[in-house]
Amino acid sequence: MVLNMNYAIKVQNMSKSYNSGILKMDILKDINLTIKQGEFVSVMGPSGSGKSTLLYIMGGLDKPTEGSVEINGKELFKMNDGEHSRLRRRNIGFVFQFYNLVPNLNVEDNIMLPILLDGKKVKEYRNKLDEILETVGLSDRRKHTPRELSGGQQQRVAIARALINEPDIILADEPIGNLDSKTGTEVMTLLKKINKEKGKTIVQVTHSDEAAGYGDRILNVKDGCLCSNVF
Amino acid sequence: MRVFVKYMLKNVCEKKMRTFLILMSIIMSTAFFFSSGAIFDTMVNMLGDNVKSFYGTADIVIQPDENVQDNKAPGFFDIRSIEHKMDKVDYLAGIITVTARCRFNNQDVRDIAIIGANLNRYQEINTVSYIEEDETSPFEGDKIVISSNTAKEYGLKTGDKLELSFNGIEKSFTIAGIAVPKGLFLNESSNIYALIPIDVLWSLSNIKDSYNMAFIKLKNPADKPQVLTELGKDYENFTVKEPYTLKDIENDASQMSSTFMLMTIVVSMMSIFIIFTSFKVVTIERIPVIGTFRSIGATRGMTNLVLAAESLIYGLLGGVLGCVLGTGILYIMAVISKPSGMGNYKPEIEFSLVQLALSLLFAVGLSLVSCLIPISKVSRIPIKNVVLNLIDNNKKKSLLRPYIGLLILVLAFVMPVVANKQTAFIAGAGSLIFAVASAILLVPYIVILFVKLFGGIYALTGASIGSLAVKNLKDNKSILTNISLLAIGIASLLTINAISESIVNEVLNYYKNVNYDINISKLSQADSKIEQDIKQISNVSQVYSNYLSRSVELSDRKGVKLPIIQGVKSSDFQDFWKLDFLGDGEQMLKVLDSGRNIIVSTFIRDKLALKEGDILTLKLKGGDFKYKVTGFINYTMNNGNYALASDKYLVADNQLKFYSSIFIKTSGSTEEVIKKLKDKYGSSNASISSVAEMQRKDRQMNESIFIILRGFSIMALLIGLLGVVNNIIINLIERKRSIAVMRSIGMDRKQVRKMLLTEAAFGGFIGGVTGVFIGYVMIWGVPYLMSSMDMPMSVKYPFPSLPVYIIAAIACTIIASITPAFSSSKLNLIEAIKYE
Repeated sequence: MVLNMNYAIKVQNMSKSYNSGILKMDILKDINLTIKQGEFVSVMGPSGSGKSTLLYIMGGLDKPTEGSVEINGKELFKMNDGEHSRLRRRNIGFVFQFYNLVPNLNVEDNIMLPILLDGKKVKEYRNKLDEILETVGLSDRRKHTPRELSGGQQQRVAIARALINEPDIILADEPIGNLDSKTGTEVMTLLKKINKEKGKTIVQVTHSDEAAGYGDRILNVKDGCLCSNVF
Repeated sequence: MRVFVKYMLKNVCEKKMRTFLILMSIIMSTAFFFSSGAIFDTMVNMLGDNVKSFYGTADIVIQPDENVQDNKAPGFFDIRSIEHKMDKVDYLAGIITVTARCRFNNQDVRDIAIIGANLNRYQEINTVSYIEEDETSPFEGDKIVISSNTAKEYGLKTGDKLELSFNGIEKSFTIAGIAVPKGLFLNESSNIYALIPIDVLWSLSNIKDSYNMAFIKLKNPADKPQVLTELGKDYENFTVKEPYTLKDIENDASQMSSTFMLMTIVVSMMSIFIIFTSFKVVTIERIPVIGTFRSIGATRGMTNLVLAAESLIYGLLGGVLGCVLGTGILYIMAVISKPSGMGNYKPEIEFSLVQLALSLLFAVGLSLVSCLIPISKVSRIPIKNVVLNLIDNNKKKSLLRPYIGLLILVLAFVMPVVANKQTAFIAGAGSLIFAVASAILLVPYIVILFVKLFGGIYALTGASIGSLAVKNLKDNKSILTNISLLAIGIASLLTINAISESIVNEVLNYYKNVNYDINISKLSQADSKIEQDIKQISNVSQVYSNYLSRSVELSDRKGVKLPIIQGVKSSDFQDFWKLDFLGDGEQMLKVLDSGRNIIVSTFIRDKLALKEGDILTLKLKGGDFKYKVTGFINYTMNNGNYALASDKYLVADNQLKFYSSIFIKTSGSTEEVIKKLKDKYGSSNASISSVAEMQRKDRQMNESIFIILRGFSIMALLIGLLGVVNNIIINLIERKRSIAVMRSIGMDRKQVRKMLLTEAAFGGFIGGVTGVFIGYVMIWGVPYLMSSMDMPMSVKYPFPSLPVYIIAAIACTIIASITPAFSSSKLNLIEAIKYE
C-alpha cells in the first residue's frame, strides 16, 4: 500500500490512567510520538512502565484516557467497532509474546484467519500463503496444529499471520520473550528481514537489549513517560 | 483434617453454578429413582382399593353364568347350597345387582346400579360409613343408601324420596343414609350406586332367597386354591373366581414401575455424564492445590479422599433433596395414574424406609461413580507434575474408542431382540445404557464427519465466519459434551413421544378398521329374539351378534390359555371389521368356516411357535376339541391376545347360549339409536356405547401414563439443557483468550457473535441428528421388549416430525448461547490476551 503521509503512527498528548477505588493510577502520561512508515522501533522499559499499554493503544486494543492516535492519518478512536476491527485486519499485524494462536486451527488456518475475517476468498490467497510460509520457513508444517510446534515455530506462525493481509504496521509485544536465545535471534532476524525487504513499519516492545538493537530507534518508557529516544 | 473439610465446603459453595448443576442432576435422578420404585407399592395400594371398592374383603366370588337357570330365575341361585363348605368359610353373603332408572328431582333421568343386600351381612364385605344417617337399621322397606357424591350432585338429604323404576315397575324409596365415598361408593364414574334391602328385590321379582352374586370370605386365605377348585367343580356353569389377584395388580403396577425405571436409567445416565464432565473440570482446577497439599506431606489417598468427600457431599445433599422431591413426584404420579373414575379418591403414597435408604445410597453411588474416573486420573499424575502443575491436557485419543462405541451400539440393537420375558427388563435397561454410552463415545467422530461435510460446503461457497465456526467444533470438549447431552435428551424425548403416538395411533387405527357404530355388551340373555328386536329399531341398518369365549385352556399345552376367541360368521364379518389378515381375508374366513379351524394373532403365533396346519386342543364346556390353525392375523389390541373361530363350532363346542356382544350399524343418527337402545335395555346391566365413546375411553386409559413419561423425558431434556448452558459458559470462559486473539487480528464484535451463534447452531444440529439416531436405536428395541413382556406393540418411527426435533435442538443451543455470545463479544481484550 502506498501512503501519502510520511508517518505510520502519530500519538498526540496521549494519557492513560485507571481508577482503582479512590486512587487514580497513571499508566501513560502525555505521550507524543511519531513513527515513520518503514521504521523499526523498539520500545523498552522496566516492567509496569506502560510500554505494552502504549503498544496496545497504538493497535486499538486499548483506549487512551486522553489524546489521540492516528494510524496512516486516520484518527483511531473516532472509529466505531467495525472500522476499528477492519483497520486491525487490514493495516495492523499483531505478534504476541505467547504467540496467541488458535489451538484448534492448523498452521494454514491460523495464518489465513485475517483473510477469513475480512470476507476474502481464501483460495485467492493460496499463493500468498505459500510465499509467506516459505518466508517464515514453515512450508513443511502447514497442516500441524500449534501444539505440535515448538515455541519458535509458533512465533513464526504468528508473524506469518501478521503478514498475510499485507498490513503496513506490525506491532510485536515481547516477540522473543518466551524463546531461547537462538530461536529469538532467528525470529528477530526474520522481523528485520520483513522490515527491510517488505518495508513494513514494526514497533516492538522488549526487555532485551539485543532484540532492541534490531530497531532503527529505541524508545524508553519509564513511569508512564516517554523519556528518551535512542537513535 | 479440619483444614480439608473447610477447603471442601468452600469449594462446594464457591462455584455456585457448578454446584447447582451437579446437585440438580443428582436430585432429579434420585427423585425419579425413588418415585419409580415407590410407585409400585402406591399403585398396588390404589389399584387394590379400586378393585376392593366393589368386592370388599371377599376372597372368592361366585356368579352364575347367564345360561344357568335353577329352580329360581335365570342367572340367580340359592347360596345356601354353598353352606357345606362353611367349615372353611368365615362368612358368606349374597347380593343382587340390578340396574334401575331413577328420576332425580323429577327431571334428570339416570340409570343407577342397585345393590340389594342384607346390610348387616353386606357390612362384613364392604364397610359403609355414613355422613348423614336416618335409621338405616333395621334395613328394610323403602330405605335406600346413596353416596355423598350423588347427594351433593342432586341436592339430596336423608328423608328425601327417590323414585326408581325396575323394568317398568315403579317404587318409591326414602333416603335413610348418605354414605362416605369409600368402598362401594368409591368409584362412581360410570355408575351411581345405591344400596336397598334385598327383600324389596325379592318381592319385586317374586323370588326368595336367591342371589346373582355371592361373596365368600375364608377363615384361612391359604385355603383359597382348594376351595376355588372344589367350588369350581360343584358350580360348573358358574364363574367361581378370586375377585382380584394380587399378582394381577402387581403385574399392572410392575409394568408401570418398570417403564418409569427405564426412563430413570436414561435420566441417570445423563446425570452421570454431567457430573463426570463437571468433576473433570473440578479435578483440573484443584491440581495446584492438590500439589500444595502433596508438597506439604499429604498422601495420594488423602488428596483422593478430599476430592471423593466433595462428591460425597453432593451425593448426600442431592440424595436428601431428591427424596423430598421424589415424594412430591410420587404423589403427582399417583394422582395422574389414578384409574379413571376414582373421582374423589385421594391416593395415598406408599414408601418404605428401605426405599428411602436405597434412594440415598443411589444418590451417593451416582455421585461417587461419576467422579471416580476424574479422581483416578488425577491420582495417577506423578507428584512432581502435580506440584509443578505440569499437566498434559492434550492426551492422544484412544484408538479403541470408536470401535468400543460401535460395538456397544450394535449391542444396543441386539439385546432387545434376544431378550425373553425373564430378561426383558435387564435387556431393555442394557440397551438404553448402551445406546446412551455409544452416543457419548461416538460423538467426537460424528462431529468430525459433520465438520468435513460442512467444511466442504463452505469451501464451495467461500463463506468465512461459518467455516471458522465449523472448525471450532472439532476437538472442543465442551461443545462435544453439549452435543452428547443434547443427543441423549432429544433421543429420550423422541422415544417417549414415538411410543405414546404409536399407542394412540394403534387405538385410532383399530377404530378405523371397525365398521360399526354401536356396541352392546353385558346384555343379559342376549339371544336371537333380542337381535330381532334390535333390528326393528329405526335407523338400525345391520346387526352382528357376536359369540365370545374367554380364557380357553389348551389341553395340549399345560398352563396356556387363549384369552379371547371370537366366533366368526364369515358372511358378515368383513362388513363389521377390516382386520389385517396375513393373506386373503375373505378366503381365510371361508376356510375358517369350513370346520374346526382357528386363526390366531401373530403374537400368539410367535408365543406358541405355531405354523399353519398345527393343531390346538381347546378345553371347552363340551369337552376337548381339536382346532386346526389355518391362518394368522396382525392384531395388537388386547395386548395381541386374539383368535377367531367359526361361531358354528364355537357355540356348539362351548355350549354358548347367549351373545357376548352385539354390534350395530346405523343408517341415521347414532345418538338417536343409542337413546332408543338405552330406553329398551338400559335397566339391565347392559353397556351401550358408540364407537366414538369407546375410542375416547381407550385413549383416556393410555393418556395418564404418557403424561408422566413425557414429564420424565422433558425433565431429562431440561437436565441436559442445564448441562448445555453450563458447558457453553465454561467453553466461552476457556476460549476467552482465543476470542481475544481473533478480536486482536480484526474480528469485530458482530463477527464474534455470529461465530459463536453459528457454532451453537451447528452443535445443535449435530446434537439433534445424533439424538434422532440414538432415539431410533431406543425405539428399535421397544417392540421386542414389549412383546417379550406379553404386551406386543408396533412402534412407528416418527419420520415426519424428525425435523422438529432437530430444529428444537438447534433452538436450544442458540437460545442458551445468546447471552454468553453477547458478553464474549464485549470482553476485555488486554486482560484476555495476557497470560496469567
